[in-house]
Amino acid sequence: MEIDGNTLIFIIIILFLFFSSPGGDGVSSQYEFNQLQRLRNQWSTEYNEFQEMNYDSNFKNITGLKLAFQDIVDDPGVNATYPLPSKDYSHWSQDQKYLLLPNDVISHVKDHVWGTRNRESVDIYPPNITSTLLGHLELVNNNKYPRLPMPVEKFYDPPTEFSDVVPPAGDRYLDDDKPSYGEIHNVTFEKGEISVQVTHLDKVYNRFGSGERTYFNSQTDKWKLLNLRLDFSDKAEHEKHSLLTDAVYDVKNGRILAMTQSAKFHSLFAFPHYMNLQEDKENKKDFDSLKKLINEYWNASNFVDTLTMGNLQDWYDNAVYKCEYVAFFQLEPWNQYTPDQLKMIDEELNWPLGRPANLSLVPPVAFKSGLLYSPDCGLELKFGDVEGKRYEIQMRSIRTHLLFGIGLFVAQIYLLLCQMHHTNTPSSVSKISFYSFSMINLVDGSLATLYFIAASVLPELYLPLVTSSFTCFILASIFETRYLILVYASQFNERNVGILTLLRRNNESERENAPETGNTVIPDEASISGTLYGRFFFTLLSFTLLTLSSTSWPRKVRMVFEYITIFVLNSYWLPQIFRNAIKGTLPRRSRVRNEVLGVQRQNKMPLLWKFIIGTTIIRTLPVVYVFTYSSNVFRHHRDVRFVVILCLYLLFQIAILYSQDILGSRWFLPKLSIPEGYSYHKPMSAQELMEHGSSTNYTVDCAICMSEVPVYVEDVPETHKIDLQTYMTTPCGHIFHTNCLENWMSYKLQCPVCRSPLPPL
Amino acid sequence: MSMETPSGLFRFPITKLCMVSTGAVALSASVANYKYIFLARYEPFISDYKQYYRYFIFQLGCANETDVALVILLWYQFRNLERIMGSYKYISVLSLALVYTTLCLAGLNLLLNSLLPWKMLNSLCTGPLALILAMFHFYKEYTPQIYEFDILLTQPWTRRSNKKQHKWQLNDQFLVNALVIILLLNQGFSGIGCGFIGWLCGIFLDRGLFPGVDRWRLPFIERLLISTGFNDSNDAILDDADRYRDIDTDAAGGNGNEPLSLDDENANDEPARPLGVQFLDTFRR
Amino acid sequence: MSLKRITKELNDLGRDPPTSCSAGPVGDDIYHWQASIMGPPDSPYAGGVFFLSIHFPTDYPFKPPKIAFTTKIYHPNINANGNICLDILKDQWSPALTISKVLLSICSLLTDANPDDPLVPEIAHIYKTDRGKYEATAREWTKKYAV
Repeated sequence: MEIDGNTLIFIIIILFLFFSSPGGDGVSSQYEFNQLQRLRNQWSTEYNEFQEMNYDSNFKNITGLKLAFQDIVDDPGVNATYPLPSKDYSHWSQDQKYLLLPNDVISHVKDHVWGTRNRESVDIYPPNITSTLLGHLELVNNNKYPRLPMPVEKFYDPPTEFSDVVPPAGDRYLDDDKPSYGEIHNVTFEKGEISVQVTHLDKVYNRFGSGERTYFNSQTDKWKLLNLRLDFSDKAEHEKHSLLTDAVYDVKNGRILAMTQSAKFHSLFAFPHYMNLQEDKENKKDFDSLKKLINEYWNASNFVDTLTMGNLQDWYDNAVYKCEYVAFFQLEPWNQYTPDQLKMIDEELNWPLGRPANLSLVPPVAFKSGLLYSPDCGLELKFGDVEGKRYEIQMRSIRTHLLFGIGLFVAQIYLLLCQMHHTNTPSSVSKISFYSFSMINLVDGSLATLYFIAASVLPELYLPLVTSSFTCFILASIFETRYLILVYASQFNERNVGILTLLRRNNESERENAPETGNTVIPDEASISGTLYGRFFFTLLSFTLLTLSSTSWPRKVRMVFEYITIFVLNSYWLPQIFRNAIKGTLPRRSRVRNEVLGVQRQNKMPLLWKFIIGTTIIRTLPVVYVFTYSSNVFRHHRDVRFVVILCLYLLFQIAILYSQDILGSRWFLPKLSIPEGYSYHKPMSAQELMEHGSSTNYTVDCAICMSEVPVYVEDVPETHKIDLQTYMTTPCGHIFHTNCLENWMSYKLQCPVCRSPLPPL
Repeated sequence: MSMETPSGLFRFPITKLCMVSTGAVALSASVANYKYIFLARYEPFISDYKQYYRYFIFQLGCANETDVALVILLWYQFRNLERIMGSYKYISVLSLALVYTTLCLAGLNLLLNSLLPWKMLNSLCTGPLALILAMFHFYKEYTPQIYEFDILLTQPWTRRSNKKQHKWQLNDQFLVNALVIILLLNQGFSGIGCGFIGWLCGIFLDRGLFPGVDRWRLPFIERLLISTGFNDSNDAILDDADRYRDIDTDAAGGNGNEPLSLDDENANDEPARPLGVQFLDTFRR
Repeated sequence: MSLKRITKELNDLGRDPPTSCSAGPVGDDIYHWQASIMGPPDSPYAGGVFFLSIHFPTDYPFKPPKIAFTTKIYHPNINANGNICLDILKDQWSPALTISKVLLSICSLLTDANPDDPLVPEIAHIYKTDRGKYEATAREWTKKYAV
């Protein structure tokens, strides 16, 4: 990984925390000091012993390697002590007599995993295999082999008394009879899934130096040191196992050997021997060069001096709660490339310059076969065909997807602006459903937050992620919330009115309501925006946290949650359909006729068709991609049926919206239950007219244009030739010209005379 | 016509285009991690990889942030040129200069590196440096100097003339000069080389050695410039208020039953409240 | 629309002029008026005559008219440019309001300033803390500019 500004700041913070903590090594008491001292002594002595070892000598007093598989076969009650009286320490060969592995496993590795060396045709393997590989895993057996006893030194234990200063000596065996351990130290499923995360360990940070990285490996064309993270679980994810191992990668032969390290297994010293499971005349050379690699690593990382309480506790936990594993993998060769091409691909991935490497054709890193054996739990697992893209290629494809996503956000912003322009009067905004846009807003807001969180996790993609997050945030918090505020404000006078009254609001009920609503003060936009922003951020945070925590749930629960959430969040047009039905628009044909006749009504559909179709597509595309494209970057499982159902559901919603446009928004409601909404055009009685101080010729002054409005009075026949459409009567009883009031209502839904709220047209 | 250029970018469509595209290209290239396509080097891109396309795009994007800032500032300063030439001629000259500088630089780069045994001018300077220098020639040639001023370096408080005074004489163009020099030095020797060639291109173009400035104009663009509201004459702009007032008085004289057509966006001279005001109102408290 | 209404208002003003105020167009432009207000007798502005300019927007009466003092006046809600801070001239505008009603509102603003929503905070501060000083200054300004 390249070092950049962010990493540097991170490192500086970490270093700061490190140096400000009690002692650089995390020691906070005399007991712990002694523990660490013991740990360092143990490793130093074992390292000295390792130095004396050569290809022909057996492991002696090295933790975890004192016994071989044959010893437990000979004497099931054997204790791991050195020296064992009957053991042969001066020879070594590829046999269960000298190895932790039973002969069956050794021969399986020889024949099926690693295969024999083929001197004639030389396979070519990629030098850099940083990647995450996924595949299926199979249990071979979990009770066939006896379990090798692996003791833990007692000094690892935490102090039993607070006043303890000296850690106890000797070692102890972990009690597998305890049911909890028995469960942890076993694999019970037959088939499962495995993910292997490979990172290279070519350089080490010298913590006590200047924080510089040291490249220690002088034989990079032959050996590479790796860190592997193995996660395997059953399909339902009830039983999860997770291991961190060091590994050695044989670049020439594509072999990988991984061994866990813990308080009961110091596997570092076992690599040179275990890499030589094949009998070959090169063995001695390989042993020596591998020993050199381990030595280089040991010296460069300053292994003993940099041991901390953290290491001690991790190793202790691993020893107690996890099985030790020895794992063998065979890499698929990349024979289509020459070493020069491989080098170019590698360089292009690390420092992109536009070399003609054709990265889209680079095959995945794949393990042809693999075997995991646990000596202390007697487990044997195997897998074939585990593969994954090179990490950098994966990052590139995620980046492309992110850019596409940014394009979608920009398109959504454009559509929303069109929609806002379409509904630029309070009356038309009041026909928009608040809840439809709340749902859309919630999704966008949580996406912005998730992107932001992801940006802190993936430093390589910091820039595109932050850009996505920013665009999405602009969309959600500025444009959509802005629109929501408008909608909220325009619908404020409906707050305390029940749905039924809204639906069947007629002249009588309106008049009863008038005095109540007459006193409501429409709050100004600033206070509305305050409440709405508050709600927005609260819902947003809770939803995001819920989504984040759902990733750690078991698969079944997670999937149910995911499906329900996607379904609910994709019903965003339902509230609008409902709203349309409440507000009641005319069928398209009569709207067109009205337009021709010049009758003025706010008669457009509240949502632009461009907006409906565009928004639906923008929001469905990512879901369709994730659910149908099997090698999608999010590693989501494929489920075409769900996508089809979802698309049908969305089409159904759009179809209803369309039918409302054509047939009128209340076509599916029975005629009886739907009287007209509040009618501004109604006749007056003479008495009412008198209350408004009318003159004798049955006219009223319009307060807007200050000229006379002739009024249709029920009791006076001579006024009956007046068209009801020429004037409007507000719920508060004031009379205006139709033109005048409709004009004013495009600015504010408020009576010009008494400032009481007006029902929208 | 006053010598002062109006502030802002009102009626400078080409300057605006140049400034916005410089920033936008740089931003999107770095978000997409594709900055490297603007690198142009003989070795290895041309000699090994045969990526000749790099010659044609290396002037379009900037590699580092300082360059982006400097180039944007320079485009802004060059708006005087657009004012003098008019937008249509300006964009024609710009595209000519871009073509000639690209050809010159690419040709020289190819020639020098393939013929000579040692690598001269291996890497071309990423960014529109050569184009800027060519336009810089035009700027120096055609923009009149408005004022100059002295900076007295020794004893600025004494006015006695018997002592020789050190002074710097600067004029109103010193900002452009300074920006160009910083831009030149910013990329080291390749920058100076490319800049020099670009400047020569500018001179040749101006003197007619490279033909085209006088007669050739970019096709199809003129119509576009007019349709986007660009207009050369200052007087042709109607006073908006007056125009709408006329329409309004007409409507008032008409029949009262005439539909006002609220739905039609064009009927109102502005929406109920402009969107910008609405956004500002959201954060006003 | 706006022309009709403004003409109507002008006629009404001529027929029934409000006390202590007057208004009318400047020259030929019916959209540009001038108005004058007599300083209310129970205020420090008594005796002064204050001139205002009125600009009608084209969509009057749906948008409020733009009204500003052209005479300098010392008042917490009126700044040096003559802009008036009055809610009915901004978001509380209603088309039922007329110029004469607005002028009367401005008159009452002269009598009762609103120091809690000031346009000139310094004057508002003096108004609240030292009423005597405020009245003295206002009287002085009136004498200087408005008599």
